[in-house]
Amino acid sequence: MSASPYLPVLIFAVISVLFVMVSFVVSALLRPTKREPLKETTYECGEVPIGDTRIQFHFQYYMFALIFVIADVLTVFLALWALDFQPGFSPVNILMFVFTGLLVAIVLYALKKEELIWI
Amino acid sequence: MIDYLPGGMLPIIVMILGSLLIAAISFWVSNRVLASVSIATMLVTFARLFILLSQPSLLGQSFGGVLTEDAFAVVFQLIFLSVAFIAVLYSVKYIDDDRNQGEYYSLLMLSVVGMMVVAASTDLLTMFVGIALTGLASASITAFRKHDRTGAEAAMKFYIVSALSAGLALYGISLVYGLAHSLQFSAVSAYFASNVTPSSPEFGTAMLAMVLLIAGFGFEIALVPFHMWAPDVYEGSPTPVSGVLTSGSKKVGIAALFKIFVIALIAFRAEWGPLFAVLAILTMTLGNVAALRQQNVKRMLAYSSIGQAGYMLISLPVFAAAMSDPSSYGSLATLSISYGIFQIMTHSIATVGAFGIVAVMSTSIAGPDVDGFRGLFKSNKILSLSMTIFLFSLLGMPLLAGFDSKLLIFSAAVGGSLISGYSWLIWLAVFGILNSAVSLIYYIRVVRNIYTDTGTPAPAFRLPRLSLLAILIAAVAVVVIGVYPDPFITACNHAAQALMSEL
Repeated sequence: MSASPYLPVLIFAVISVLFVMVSFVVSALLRPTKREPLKETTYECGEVPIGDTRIQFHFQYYMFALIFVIADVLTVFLALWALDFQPGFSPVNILMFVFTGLLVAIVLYALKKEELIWI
Repeated sequence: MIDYLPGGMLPIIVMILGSLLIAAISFWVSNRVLASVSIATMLVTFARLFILLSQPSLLGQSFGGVLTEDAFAVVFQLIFLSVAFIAVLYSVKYIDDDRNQGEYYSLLMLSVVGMMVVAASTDLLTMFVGIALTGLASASITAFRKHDRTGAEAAMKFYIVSALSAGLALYGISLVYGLAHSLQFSAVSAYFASNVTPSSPEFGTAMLAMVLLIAGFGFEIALVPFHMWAPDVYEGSPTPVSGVLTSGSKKVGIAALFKIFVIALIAFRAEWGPLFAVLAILTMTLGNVAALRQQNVKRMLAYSSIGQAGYMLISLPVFAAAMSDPSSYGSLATLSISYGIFQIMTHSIATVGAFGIVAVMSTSIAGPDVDGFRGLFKSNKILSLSMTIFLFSLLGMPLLAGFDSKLLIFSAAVGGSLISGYSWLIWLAVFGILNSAVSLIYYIRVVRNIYTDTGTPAPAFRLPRLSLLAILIAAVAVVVIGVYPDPFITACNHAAQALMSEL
């Protein structure tokens, strides 16, 4: 049987699935089990939980998440650009500046729009 | 070496800059200024497109091998831009009392940018990006009046359907890429023509890709098994947006079908030709029959445009037949595509004009009923005559644009039926003509209401000058194309030749 080039991927996938299962099983075997009512509650950074688990997040968090996506996208492209950066006025550099400028303008627009719906 | 700023890309770049500028200045200026910026941007783009069309040496520039501004692209871009221009003119009054006006113009123009990208694309992925841009932008403006429940429902439906259709199309595209190792239409076409025959093992995968692409773009065009969303969405959108959706977004799907099936999947014409013939007959029949009982005018126009999409589809099976027999009817292949484009052109302008009159008569989302047109002739003669012109053009009255295009597309079907082995193409023409007769019933219902005076009070509305201008532009265009169609047909012929030259 010839080793396919994707064999390492398969091995990696099997190991990564097994790792989770094994670590859960092993830690379940090793740790002592003691049930308490306080342990059954929702974990809220060590505080006593208040109210229902299912709360509605305010819409503004969603807006911030959306704006954050722009930064994410920008990072990917900037990293690629930085890997192969050559100084000077090459078309690539100009296009990247246009692209970055566009995204910055979009963030500014979103923040300005956000101002209007901010409570 | 990639040419980074070829002049052929200027129309798209100008539109993008204009829409961004409108969004940026929307915080400080009034509706009037926003509309002027939007109109000015579109006029500049128009000028640039006409320069491109008049100087063939400028055509055919490629932008990085993903976009090519050829005659096909320019003609479709002119259609999309005219539709959006007319819609913006009558939007100004329609959205006068709404919030977020800047975003309205900006998103409308961005959706046109997406359409323009699709028209110019030479690459499956670029086409997909264009369609996604159009879908996102138009789904957002569908929800422009977000407190209106029908509007929100329409936007949600439209968004889900766009996502579904994009997913199906993308799956098809990925299968095509897996087979052909290229996304360029011409490369895909060359690969399929030389390597895949019905007996080869890839054939099944290729057929799966073809069906997925038809389903994906079928949702976009609202072909009949995939049409359920269209009437609800067109009824629930703000009326000018319905105009752009019916006459712009739908046509984008047809432009995409032309590019994919006429260039990339030409090798499978024996398979997709009959399939499109069946879809065309189903689409035109169901659209026209369902329109018969609609009381809401927007819903009626929605079903009528579903029916009209069936007429446009006639060009694909005729093209497939003509390509199989190039010796005797070689020019029929080009002409069938050209007449399809001409049908798209005439239908777009008449529909966007008809939606303009609906938008003037009622600025609510629901729009007027068919009965709401009673006595319109008493209150406004110009609007009544224009509505009559639009509806009769959709119906196909002689001397109006719709007659010329229907005559040509049906005659293409008859011409295709003369090819041996393809005599069934005659049924496309037969069903087209029968359906035109059916459509007479619901178009004439509105026209009769306009001119009958039943003693009810005539509809009261204000007619702003810009809206009147928009409606007059559309009406004059319909009459001019109807009486003197030569230059328009010539442009469509050039477009079809440009498309075929990519083969």
